[in-house]
Amino acid sequence: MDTIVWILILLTAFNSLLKQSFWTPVATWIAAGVAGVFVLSVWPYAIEQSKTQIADWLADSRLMLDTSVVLTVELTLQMAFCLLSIHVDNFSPVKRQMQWAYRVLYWFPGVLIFPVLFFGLTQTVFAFPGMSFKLLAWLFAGFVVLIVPLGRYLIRWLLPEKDLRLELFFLTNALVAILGIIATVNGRTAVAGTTTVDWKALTGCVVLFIVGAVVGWIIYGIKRKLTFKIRR
Amino acid sequence: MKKKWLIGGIFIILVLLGWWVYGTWFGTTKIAFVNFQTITMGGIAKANDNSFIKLQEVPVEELERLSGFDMVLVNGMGLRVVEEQRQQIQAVADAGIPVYTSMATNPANNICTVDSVMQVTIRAYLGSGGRRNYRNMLNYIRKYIDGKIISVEEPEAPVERAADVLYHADVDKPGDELDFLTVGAYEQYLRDKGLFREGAKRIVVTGQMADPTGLIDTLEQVGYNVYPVLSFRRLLDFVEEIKPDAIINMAHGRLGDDMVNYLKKHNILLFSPLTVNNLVEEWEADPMGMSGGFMSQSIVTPEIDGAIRTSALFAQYQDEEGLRHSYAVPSRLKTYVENIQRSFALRDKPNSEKRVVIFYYKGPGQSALAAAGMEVIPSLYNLLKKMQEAGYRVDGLPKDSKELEKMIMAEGAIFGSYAKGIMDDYLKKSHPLFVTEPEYTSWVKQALRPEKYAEIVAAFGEFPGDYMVTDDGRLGVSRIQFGNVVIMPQPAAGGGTNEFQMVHGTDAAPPHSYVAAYLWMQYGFKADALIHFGTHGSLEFTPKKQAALCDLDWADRLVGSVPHFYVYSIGNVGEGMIAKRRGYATLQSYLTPPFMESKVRGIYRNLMEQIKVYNQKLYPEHGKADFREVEKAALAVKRLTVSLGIHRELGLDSLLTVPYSEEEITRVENFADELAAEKITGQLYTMGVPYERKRIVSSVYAMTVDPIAYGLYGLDKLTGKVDAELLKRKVVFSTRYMEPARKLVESLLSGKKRVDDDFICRVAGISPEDLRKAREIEQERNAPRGMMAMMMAAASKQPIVKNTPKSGGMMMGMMKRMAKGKSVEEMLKVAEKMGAPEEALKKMKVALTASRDTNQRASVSTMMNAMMGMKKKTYSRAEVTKAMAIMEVERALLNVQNYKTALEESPERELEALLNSLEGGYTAPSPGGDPIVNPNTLPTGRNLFAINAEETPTESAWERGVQLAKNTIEMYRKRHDGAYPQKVSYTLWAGEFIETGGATIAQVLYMLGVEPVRDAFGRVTDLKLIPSAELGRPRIDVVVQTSGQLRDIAASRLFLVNRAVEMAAEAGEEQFENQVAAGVLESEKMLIDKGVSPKEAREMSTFRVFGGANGSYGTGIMGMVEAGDRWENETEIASTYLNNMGAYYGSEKNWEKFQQFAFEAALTRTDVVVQPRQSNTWGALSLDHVYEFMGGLNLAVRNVTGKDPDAYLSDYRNRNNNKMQEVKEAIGVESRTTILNPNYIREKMKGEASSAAGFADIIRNTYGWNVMKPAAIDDELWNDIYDVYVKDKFKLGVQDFFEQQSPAALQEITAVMLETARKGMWKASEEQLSELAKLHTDLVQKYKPACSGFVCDNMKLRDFIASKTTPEAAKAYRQQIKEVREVAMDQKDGMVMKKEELRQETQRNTNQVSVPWIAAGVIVALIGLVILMRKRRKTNN
Repeated sequence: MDTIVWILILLTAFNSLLKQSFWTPVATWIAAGVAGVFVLSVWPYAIEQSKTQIADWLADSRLMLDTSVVLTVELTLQMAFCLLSIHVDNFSPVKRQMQWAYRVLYWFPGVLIFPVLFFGLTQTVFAFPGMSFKLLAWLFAGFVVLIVPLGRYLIRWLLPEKDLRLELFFLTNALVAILGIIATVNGRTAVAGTTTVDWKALTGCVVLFIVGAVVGWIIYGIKRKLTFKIRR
Repeated sequence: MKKKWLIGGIFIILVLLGWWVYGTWFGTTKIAFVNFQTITMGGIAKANDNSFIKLQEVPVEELERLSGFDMVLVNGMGLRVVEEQRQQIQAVADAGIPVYTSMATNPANNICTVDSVMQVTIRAYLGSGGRRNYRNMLNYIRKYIDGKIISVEEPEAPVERAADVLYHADVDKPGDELDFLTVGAYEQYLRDKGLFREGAKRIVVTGQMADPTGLIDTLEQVGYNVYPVLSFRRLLDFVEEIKPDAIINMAHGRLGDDMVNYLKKHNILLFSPLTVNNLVEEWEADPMGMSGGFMSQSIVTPEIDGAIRTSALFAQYQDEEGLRHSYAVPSRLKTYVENIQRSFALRDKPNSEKRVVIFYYKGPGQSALAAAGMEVIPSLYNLLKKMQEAGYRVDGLPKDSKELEKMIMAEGAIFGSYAKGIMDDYLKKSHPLFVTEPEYTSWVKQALRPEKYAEIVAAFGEFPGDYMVTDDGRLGVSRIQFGNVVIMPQPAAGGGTNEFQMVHGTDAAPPHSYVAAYLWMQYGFKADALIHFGTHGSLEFTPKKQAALCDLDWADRLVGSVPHFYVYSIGNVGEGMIAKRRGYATLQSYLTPPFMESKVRGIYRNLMEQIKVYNQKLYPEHGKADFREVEKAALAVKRLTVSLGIHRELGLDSLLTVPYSEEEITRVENFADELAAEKITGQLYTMGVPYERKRIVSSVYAMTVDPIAYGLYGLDKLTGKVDAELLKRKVVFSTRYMEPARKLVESLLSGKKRVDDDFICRVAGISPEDLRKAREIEQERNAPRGMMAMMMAAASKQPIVKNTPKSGGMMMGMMKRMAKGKSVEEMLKVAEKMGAPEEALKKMKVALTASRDTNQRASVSTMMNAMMGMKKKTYSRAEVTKAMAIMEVERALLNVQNYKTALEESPERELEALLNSLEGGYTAPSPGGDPIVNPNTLPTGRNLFAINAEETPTESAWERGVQLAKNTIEMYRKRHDGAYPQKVSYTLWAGEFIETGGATIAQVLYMLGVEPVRDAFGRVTDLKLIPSAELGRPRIDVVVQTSGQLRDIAASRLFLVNRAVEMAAEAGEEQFENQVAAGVLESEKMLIDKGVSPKEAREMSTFRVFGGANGSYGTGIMGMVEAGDRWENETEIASTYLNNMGAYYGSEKNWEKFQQFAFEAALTRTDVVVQPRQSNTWGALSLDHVYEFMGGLNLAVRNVTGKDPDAYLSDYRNRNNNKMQEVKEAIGVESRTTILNPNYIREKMKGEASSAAGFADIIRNTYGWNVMKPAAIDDELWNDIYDVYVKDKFKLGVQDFFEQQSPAALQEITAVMLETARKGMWKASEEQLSELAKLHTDLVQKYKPACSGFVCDNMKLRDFIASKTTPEAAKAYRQQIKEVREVAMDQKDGMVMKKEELRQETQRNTNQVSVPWIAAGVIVALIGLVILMRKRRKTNN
């Protein structure tokens, strides 16, 4: 379970950076500053959290369900941004309402990054016992302020094309949505673990997978051939 | 518009002006009082009748509030402020607010901004005191300092009050007091007013720390003539004139030796009620009650005068204005005065009418009665006999102690809750006391508050609970009544499912049976006196406060107002203090068993001879050593060493082909010599019976030979005749010093030689001048600190414990009264009387004369400054060392005959002292400790006292502590290839703390590289880091595990230790490593990993002082260890131990805070555990608490760090030769000289049941050690025990002895051995097991099950025993046990739950996720995705 949460946290951070790649440099610097200020203002609370407390939160299905609502809203908005972007870029004229909706979605920074930052700060504090909490907070804030613009720059360098970034953004958000569902049903499906393997079911599953893959490959091949023929 | 603005502006200006004018000339005068004693403050507040004057106390922690006042008055006496706070006062003064500081003991605090005329006036008002002066002072301040013009009265001139007076409330003018200069005038006044009662008892009330009006009124109401005395200088004169029947001293500090002599001579009691420096509700909620310097001065020093009943009487109340007033708490007053009445009643009542209850302590079933070092039943019998002779009604007393024993076993028994069958049998067939519900309820109503009773109900259900209950719902209480004297066993203080903590108390309420026994004593039997017989019971260990108990403390309620006497061993002064302070007992000290030599020399003769041969070969008189011959001799030594098993105890190899080195052979030699020289205890002491003559002689040898030998060696060392290396060769030392010293003592005992100065000089090889100088140095070092102590008292009135207004005025008043109107000569006389040394007197004279020349009047400040500035004459270290060695020799030589006489007379004196107490008489005070460590404890029959913790570690204790810390490091490095230990974990107890003057604390401090800083009064109030270069080694981290007793008597020292840890941790970059900083970091890391928040983890990472949770006194682990069927894995014990001992006691703020994992985190990195040992009456094997604490700590460390730590004992028994010893070696010495030594066994076999139980105790403790530190106990030891006690290897008739005196003890011994084997700790042969099982089952068959918890409550053991014997014997055995148990209880519920918890913990740990791998995976996946997309882009392009 913890694994999924960790993946979710990292993906959320990545998504946030990815969103920054659509913004102007100045806006990114402002966002980085806000994140830094946030870190500096929450460190007194971060040092009061314990590993067990955080683990308890993650294991708290009620809290996770609440979080899933936020997660769903955020993901919906971000995915809507992807779709609207394509629409705005490819259709003209764009309706005024559509234009406004796009602007709102464009500037929506995401709220999940804040708990992620808070979580990151707690993990930093856990990792460096004996160091001044304040100093750690400053260092972490500094790191955040630098990593946000740097991350934006790196992503834009890797994927200069906006459409590719939008696609990636859409995909990672979709991934977060799937993982979010798994994570938030914690406590209802992940309680009863089992140590034995149902080999029969597993074999069936693998066979089904292979058959599906082969069928898919064949269909792909046929489609490609047909397309080629049509073009020719 | 403009006009409107103008009018508005003018209006505002007028309002502001008016406000300013009002504030300047008409408003309220607000006066702040800083550091004033509550009683002074109360007096001033009462005197204030001007509604325009407002008074407020400002604690030093809130000095920033001072800017809002019109005047600030500071009591500088003992003002403890840090620089920042001092600056706050200065800032107020600089801002123009008038500040007046009186009696500044620290010149830096002397901040005064009022002019000299005003200073003189205020000083006069304050100094003279009294309502009139206070009122005038306030008016003076309002009119002349604050400059107000309305509601001002013209103040009258200060009225001087006589310094030494008796006083009485003015009958005609309520609220006023009248002073009387003579006793005659006072009595005349009482007669005139019809208040004097002819022939009534007279009570002096002195040392007013709180408003004693309530106390005085109540005493008068109940019919006494009360003499309130305000005088220190003439107190004794007044007392001699009044001839009181008792003195009530409320003051801090001592009254002095003259007063003690007076009390002894007139045989009158000295009561010492406590003034709590806290609001009543805060005090009741405070788990400490009283601590630190305040406790030292309130309790410790009065105890040195032999004061009794140091229980809380006065506490603070807050008025509407927030001012505090200190007066008697009504419920406390009632009990206190009742106690005084009952004490007087003991003097007046004929013995035949006195009703006395004597509690003894006894284990369950047929276990013997227990008391440290005492043969209890004969001792108890002797007391009863003596009481009978003295006229007490002791009807039906059996003809001898054996008969009494039978009665006690039949009628005065106690049962484990598992023994339902025998309990029912007892209730039906014997004659216990039956308590009905109405009786019990009526007693409870009288004694307990409802919320207190609710605690019992919460723990044990409604009356009568489920223990000792009859079918018709009555509660059975064991007791035997002989006319007016009742003896009864102390019921178990624990119960229910938590029987592990029976003896030393639990955090829960005692059960109904326990409460009923004491309430019956108070209200049912209406006892005139209560006696606890022998060291020790459990009453004093019931929860909660450590001192200054309130109505919510069990001990306070259960003793009630009944005069209480406790027969207590001199060897256990530490726990004795708890009995005094928490049980209000007057201790009646009794002797330890006599001391004798082990006489095992014969057993090791061959070895010693062979070592002698080796030494001769190694260092031949002529020529060079022949290597082959030396090797041959060394191998011969090794063969003998291995055959005797000594190599195991010393950790040497047993390879017979490789010889031992010279160093190793020296260790063997020293070990053998130690065995021969070990002082062991002889036959248990019977109260009233002197030791056998030869034991008196052997005890005197034990007390005097060492001091003479070591003293002479010390002198020889100083003159260069010998070097320090000699001490490492014990055999040579013995030949050269011990043997001659012994001969000398022998000749002195025979009375052939007279000890005078010439003789001492001859023996010591010194000149008369050397002797004179040594005496001078000794006198100087031991000069009484009378004056100092007094001043210290004043300073220590600082409520350093609580954040409450400070105090100090009484001392100030005292000093002023002393000084007032006295000539220089008179004042010097006062100081001399109070014990000021000559040097100090000279300085005082100079200062006072100078002062008088300029001021016409000697000011108190001048006098005090002179005193403060005085310094002891200094001597070089060599001079002091020489003087100490000479004095050691002199003391021993002079006292050989005195010690003998004291030992002869003590037994009779003990009984007489106890009878004297029962007649309301005074018990003289005495220090504690066994007679070898502290011969001043003789003669016995006295009331033990402790030391002033604030002065510890004393200078000599510091030296000893440093030496032992160095020894610890040296020993560790030798055993670990030169590595330094990272952390040393100490167990500290009260006994050795008291007897060594805090050397144990010194060890801890030095380990950290921190040293004490003393103030002008000799108190250790501060610490400083020893620079790394000077220390010459890394700072070593520590943990202190404190006993409850030490926690209660020396909390301030524990705070000091934790502060030292913090200082050492923050020492920064240094030349050598800082293990303390590393340890703190490690602790923080562990705490975070365990799930503590970083913020808390950081705070807790420096926690290094731990003790029993909920203020308990034991570890609560012994019961678990000895219940072998309730644990399978030592981890379970470790976990319980860490839980039970995990309360933090290192600071006042977090006092008693229990935080999971804190103790565990503190113990990380521990390499060594250390336990001090200061008494010759116990060792690691003979005292269960050693395995409980030191063993428990060892086990806990092993479980936390994963490795078995080294375990050393700090041996303080020989004050001339303190040393460290590895625990296995110590156990080896102890076992070889006691339980495996035929001489010891023979000696103990002269005793009765308690002696027999002593053997069982040692063997049970051996089992305990085996659990806690398996490396310390090997199979060979168990085999030896088997050979001696089962096979009777020495043909001593041991089994006959046990069968005759206590079959229960042998049942226990065999059961313990079988359990050890069952748990796989002793690889016993089948033959051994069947032999043991047969002996055990035969004993059970023949004498019925003794039924201690060890076997009767351990089903697995019983099954094991049954499996090792014949089927018939097994069947009979099971049947016997069944009859005793009848209805078995499900004992395992608690442990099952515990196990489940442990399992959950394990599961949680296995679910750890590797975060870095996840991160790496996600990043790789994202990069992969991006790359894929880039590739696609390229493809598309």
